[in-house]
Amino acid sequence: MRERMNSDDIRRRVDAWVENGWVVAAHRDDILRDLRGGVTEAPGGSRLARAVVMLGALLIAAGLLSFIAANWQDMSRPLRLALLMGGMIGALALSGWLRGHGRRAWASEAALLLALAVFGAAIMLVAQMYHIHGHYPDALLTWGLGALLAAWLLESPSALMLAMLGIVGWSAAQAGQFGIHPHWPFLLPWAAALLLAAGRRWRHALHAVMAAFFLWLTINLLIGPVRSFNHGKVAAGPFLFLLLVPQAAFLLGATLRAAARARIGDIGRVLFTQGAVIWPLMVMFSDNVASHGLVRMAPLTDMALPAIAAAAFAMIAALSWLALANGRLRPGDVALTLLIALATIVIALRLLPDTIWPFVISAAATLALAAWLLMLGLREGRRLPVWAGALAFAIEVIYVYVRLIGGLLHTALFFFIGGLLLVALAAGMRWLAARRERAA
Amino acid sequence: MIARVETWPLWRRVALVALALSGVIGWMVADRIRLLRTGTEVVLNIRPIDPRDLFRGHYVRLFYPEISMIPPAGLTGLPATRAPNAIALRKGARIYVVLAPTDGPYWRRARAGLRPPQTIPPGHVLLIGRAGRAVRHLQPALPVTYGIERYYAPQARARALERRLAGRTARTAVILRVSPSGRAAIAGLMLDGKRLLEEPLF
Repeated sequence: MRERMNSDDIRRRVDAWVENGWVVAAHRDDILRDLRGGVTEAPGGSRLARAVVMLGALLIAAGLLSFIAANWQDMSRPLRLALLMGGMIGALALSGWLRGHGRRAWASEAALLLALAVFGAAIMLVAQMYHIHGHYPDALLTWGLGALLAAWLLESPSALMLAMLGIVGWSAAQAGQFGIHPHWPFLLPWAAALLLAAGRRWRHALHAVMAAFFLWLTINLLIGPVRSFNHGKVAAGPFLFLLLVPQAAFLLGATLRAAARARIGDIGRVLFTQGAVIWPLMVMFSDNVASHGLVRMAPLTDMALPAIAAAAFAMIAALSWLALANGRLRPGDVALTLLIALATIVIALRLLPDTIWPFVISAAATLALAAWLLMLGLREGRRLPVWAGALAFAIEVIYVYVRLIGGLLHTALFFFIGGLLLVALAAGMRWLAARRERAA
Repeated sequence: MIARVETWPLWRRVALVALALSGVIGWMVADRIRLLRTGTEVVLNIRPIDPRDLFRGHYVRLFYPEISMIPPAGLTGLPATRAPNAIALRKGARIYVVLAPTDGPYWRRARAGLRPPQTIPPGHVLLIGRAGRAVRHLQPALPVTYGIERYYAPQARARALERRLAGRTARTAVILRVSPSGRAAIAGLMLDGKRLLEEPLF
């Protein structure tokens, strides 16, 4: 497994390199900044402590505002506004002061989060003061854009993550509740956030930005249509696209993560990570949605569906080939990914009659994918695919058990096959470890 | 530009963020004050469904019988659909309502449509709302919201109001201020034709 280092470890290592003369002292700060991937990870406190402080700042903001709101009626409107503005500007000034004086960057981030929380609450409370009960997604957008501006000007990854929350909330409300889907306007602030996170090399913020995109796709292609149009059904074409996007992201990420350009590599790693987590979930979820009759199939004479299926498979094949050509995947890996893509198409488009087979294929594809992710992670010494594979395996096993429960024969079959799979997996892992030992 | 911003002095960046965020809040307040000051006064009936529970919580939901529910048949410009259950209008779509004064203090709905009216008769007022849900065929009435459906009441004032409303068939109305662009703000409450509460500007 790759060694995991925190900010202090990194600083100690780089200082040692400077002492040994391996690194020019003038470049020490640049190297530290690059390794930490952002200004937030300045020395001081563990990662967990910093996260707790951030959450604490948000809770303090919530507490203060609840207190103010509870005694709101006793205050005059100018006093209310002064409190809100004062709190917001005060927290901003504190954040700037902490940053300017080289104090703990995470404390400065916490103060900024406090300011942004007060900004969000101020929008809500001013609406309350003047009895405004408007189109509430607009308020979420305003809050998100304010946080995005703060993230850009004050170089704050936490503010960017908060901005994504507001912007996704806005888009989700527009698509899921007000029936505006696809909600294209989301892509504008999202692209700005992507440019900022990738440009500044903020790893966690980049994860939030990519997760927001997957969420947007899911809301627009699945939840929105199911909630409002077509008698609560999603069209088969967009549904298939939604199912294959995480696989495409994984394969693209596998190729890009070793790119020479650091920023492209960052995006590749995020795509690879999120694809590894979401892909197996999508494969297991495909049969569940399709079998509940939530997918609206086009008439058989409609040639659009076969064309979409062919295009989707071609996309996965092209990305697999790219990963193969770049040495990121092996021929066996590519064969498996293509098989899983094929299985996904068969399930999503209901190419098999409504028997037990779509469920069996979905379960087999998910378990195979989970096992493959596990082995890929072990082979490459990467922790995330191992965890993603193990998690997917566990969830699928529970799901299969719940689906089959009721008949003793089915349950026996389930345990028998599950046991065989686990034994095969253990044997595969043992074989890989032995081969690595021999190679060493 | 993204790369250059970190070369700006920190205090300037903090000031810019503070200015922008305060500007948003300030604009919200200024917009309401302008609307309350300059908007045309309109009085609309509200229906207190259960006066005893009117002020449960910190706000009361306001239902305007004239404009809160509009039958789709009464909407001009509603697109026809072929499928019996298809959507003719999505949730959140704009609804243009023209209000007309009556002989009494209360205003009534003169017209409602999906497109802005070509002309507004003198003395009439345009009010813009949003469809509260998607419209399908055979729907008896469409809920429309205008951003004036909540009245936040201070606890003490709410109790006093509750006492005055409880157990009587009072005719309750909301005094609105409506801008020429069709936006409305609550300016006060009216009970049996008498002004009960006036909202301060600031």
